[in-house]
Amino acid sequence: MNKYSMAHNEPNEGRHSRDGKYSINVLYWAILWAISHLASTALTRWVVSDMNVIKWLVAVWPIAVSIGALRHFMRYLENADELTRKMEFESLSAGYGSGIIFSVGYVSLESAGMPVIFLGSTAAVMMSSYVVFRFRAARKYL
Amino acid sequence: MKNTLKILRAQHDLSQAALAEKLDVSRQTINAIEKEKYDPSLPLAFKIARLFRLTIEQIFEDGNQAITPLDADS
Repeated sequence: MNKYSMAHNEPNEGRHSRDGKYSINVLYWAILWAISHLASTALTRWVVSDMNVIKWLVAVWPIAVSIGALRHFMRYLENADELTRKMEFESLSAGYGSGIIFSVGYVSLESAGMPVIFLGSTAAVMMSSYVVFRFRAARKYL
Repeated sequence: MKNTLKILRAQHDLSQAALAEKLDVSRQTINAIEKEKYDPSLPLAFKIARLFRLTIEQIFEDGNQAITPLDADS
């Protein structure tokens, strides 16, 4: 393959170094968020029994971390390569829309007899739709 | 959008990676533009044109989308 006819389809190959740097930060924050969430849930359920200041602080801690993760994701988007940003926006829009359709649509299904589901299911639908549409965008543009 | 980026790049002996570095975009972006899968933003189109000392119209072809110029109405 000569250098004028490169046809790379690998999703991570050929990315801008800035994208890599910022997306790694987002990944670290997402991992920290997940760990904080699990730790906070365990502590508030089994360790800190009384409703006091400590329990509130333990409960609020993962929310504070999630705000940090969101700030890093926004920074990643602001600094992203323009094609990366387009793919992210398309995937985020699709994920957001899927979540809205699911949360509003399920209300009708519930009234028709479907079982009541956990509120956080919408977040799971949003995130999984985002991942699916992110892969779709990579196939479309790369 | 049809474009002559690949030809221009070859004429100047530039790899996709080298051109991407000069334009501060990813190699994926250059590849997508060359394959006509992605239309660059206006700032990037200007940067490409200035880099090759050409006009945007000399590099990108919009397929002459039908539009009547304002002065043609009067």
